[in-house]
Amino acid sequence: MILVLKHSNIIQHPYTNIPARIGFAYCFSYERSRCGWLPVMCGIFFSWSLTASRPPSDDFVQCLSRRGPDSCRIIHRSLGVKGPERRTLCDQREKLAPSLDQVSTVLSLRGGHVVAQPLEDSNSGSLLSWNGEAWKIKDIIVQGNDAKLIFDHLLRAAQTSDDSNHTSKPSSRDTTLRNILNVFSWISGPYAFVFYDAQNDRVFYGRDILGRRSLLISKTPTTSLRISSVSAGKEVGDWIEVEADGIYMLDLTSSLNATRIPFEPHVGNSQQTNAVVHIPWANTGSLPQTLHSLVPDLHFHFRIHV
Amino acid sequence: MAGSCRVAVLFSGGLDCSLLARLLHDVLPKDQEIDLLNVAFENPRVVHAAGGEDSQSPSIPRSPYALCPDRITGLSAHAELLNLCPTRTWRFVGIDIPYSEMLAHRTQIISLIYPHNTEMDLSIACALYFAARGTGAVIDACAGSTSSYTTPARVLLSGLGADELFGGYTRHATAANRKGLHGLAGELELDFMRLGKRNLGRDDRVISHWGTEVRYPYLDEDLVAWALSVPVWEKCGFGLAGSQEEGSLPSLEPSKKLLRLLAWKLGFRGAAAEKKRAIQFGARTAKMETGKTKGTQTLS
Repeated sequence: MILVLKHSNIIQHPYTNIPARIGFAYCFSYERSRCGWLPVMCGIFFSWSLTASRPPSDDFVQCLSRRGPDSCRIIHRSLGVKGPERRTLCDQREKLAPSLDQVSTVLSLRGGHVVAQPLEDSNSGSLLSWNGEAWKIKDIIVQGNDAKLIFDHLLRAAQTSDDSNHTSKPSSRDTTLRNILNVFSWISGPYAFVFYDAQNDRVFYGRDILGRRSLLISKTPTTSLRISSVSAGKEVGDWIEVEADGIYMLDLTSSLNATRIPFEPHVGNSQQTNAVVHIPWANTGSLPQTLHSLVPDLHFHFRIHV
Repeated sequence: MAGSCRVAVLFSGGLDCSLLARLLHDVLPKDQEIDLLNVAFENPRVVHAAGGEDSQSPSIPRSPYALCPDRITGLSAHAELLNLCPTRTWRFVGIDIPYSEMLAHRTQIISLIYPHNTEMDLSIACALYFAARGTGAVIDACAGSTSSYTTPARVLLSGLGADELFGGYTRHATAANRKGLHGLAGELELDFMRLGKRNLGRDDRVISHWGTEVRYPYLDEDLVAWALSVPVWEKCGFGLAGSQEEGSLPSLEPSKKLLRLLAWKLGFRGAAAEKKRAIQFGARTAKMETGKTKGTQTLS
C-alpha cells in the first residue's frame, strides 16, 4: 500500500492577487519493506577489460560493503571472442581475453530476506545492478521489489526474437536498444545502475535524470573500463562522476577493435573506435514561448532518440 | 528508548525542512515517531573569536553548540511543532560534534566526497555525514536530563531542491533586480540543472556510508514537473514592484514566497519567516581554521 499525499492550498498571492494553487504531491513507498520506511540500498562495481580481469580490490569491496553489508556478490564472466574475428585477433601480440566483473553489495533491513544482486538471468546471462528506488513505472506505483521488476522489463526489451507471433522478422539490435532505453524513460525515482545485456553484447549504465545516486567512472585510459558507486580512498585520482544526462552504452562487440576504451564518449575520431555511446535525455513538448517558461519542459517520461 | 521511529528529517529549523516535518505529520500513522536531526559543530575559529571567559560569570561555560544558528532555529521550530501537532512524538536530536571528532573523520569524508574536492564540498559533507550517523543527545524535558541517542531511522528526509525550485537564494533576488523576471527564471534554471552534478552524487556517497538512505520530497518528479510549469512570480516575490499589503496577509519575505505562505497557512508562523541559511554556516562547519578560506578552494 503506497501512501500518496496531495496537499493542495489555494493561496492568494499578495502581490498579484492571482490564486496560486499548490499541488504538493509526493509518494512515500510504504510497502517497500512491509515494515515501512526501510531502504534497500546497493553498492555497485563494474569492470570490463580487454586483457585481464580487474575485480575490485579488498579496499574497494570494504567501501562498497558500507553501503551494503548484508550481501556481496562478485560475478566474473569471460567473454569469448566469437566468429570470424578470432583469427585476426589471436594473431595480435597481446592476447585478448575480454572479461567482465560485476559486483553488488546490498543493504536490506527486511528481516532476513535479502535479494542479492547483481540480479542474474540464467537464460541469457544478463546482469543488473540496481541502486535505486523506482517509485513509479509508467505512472503506475510500484509494488514489491523494484529491481526485479525493472530487470524483467529490461530482459523483455532485450529479446532478439519474437517467438510468440511466429513472425519471420526478429527484433533488430536497434529495436532492442530503443526498447531498453524506453524502460529507463518510464521510471520515476532515484537510481544508478549497470545493466549487462548479454543477449546483445552491450553494457548500459547511468543515473536518474536528477542525479540523486552516485556513480563514478574510471578515467584511466587503459584497456579497461570501470564503474563504481564510490571510490576507495587509496585510488583517488582515477575517477570522475558519470554525468546524469542520459544513458551510456558500451558496445562490447565493437570494442574488440578498440586500442583503448575512452572514458568519455566522443564522436568523429577515426583513429579510435568509440566504445561508449552517450544517449542524452530528450525533451518532449515544445518550449513554452512566453515569459512563464522557467526551464524547458523537462518531462520525465519521454522518448529517447536513438 | 528507540521506539517506532522510522523516518528522520535533516532539521535546521529553516523553512524547507520545517515544512517537510509538518507535512510528514499528515502522512505518517499517528503512532510513529519523527526524529529531527540537528547538527552543530564546535568551530574553533568562532569559539576563539568569541573571546575568553565572561568577566561577569566566569564559571558558566559557553557551549559552542548552543550558539550555532541552526541549533537555535532548530529548537525554536521544534517547539512550534510541539504546539502545532501535539499528538505526535517529535524527538529533537542534538548532534554535537567537537572539533577533534571532525578531525578524526576528516580523511574518511574527503575520500567519500571524491572526486568533489573543495572546501565547500567538505564543509557541507561534514554536516551531512554526522547527521546521517544519527548519534546525538535528546533532552527529556520532564526529567530535566540529557541522554545519548542514536536514531533507528534508516530513511532521512532532506529539504534540498526547494531553493532551486522556488527561489530561495540571495542571487535569485539579485538576478531579478538586475535582469528582471526573465533573468530570475534563467538563474533558477541554472541552479536546478546543476543539482545532480554539484551536490547529489557527493551527498549520496556521504550519507549511504552509514546505511542511511536520503530522500528528497522536493525532487519528486511530479512536484518538479508542476513547479517548473508555474510562473516565477507565483513562486517567489522577487522583482515585483511594491505590494499592497493587506492587513490580513502576513508580511513575509519574497524568497520562496509560495512555501512561506503554505507554512503560514499550516500555522507554522516562525518557520514561514526564517531566512535562508546554508548548512555549512548554520552548523558552523565552514571556515574552521581560518576565516580566509574560500569555499571554492581545493582541499589541500
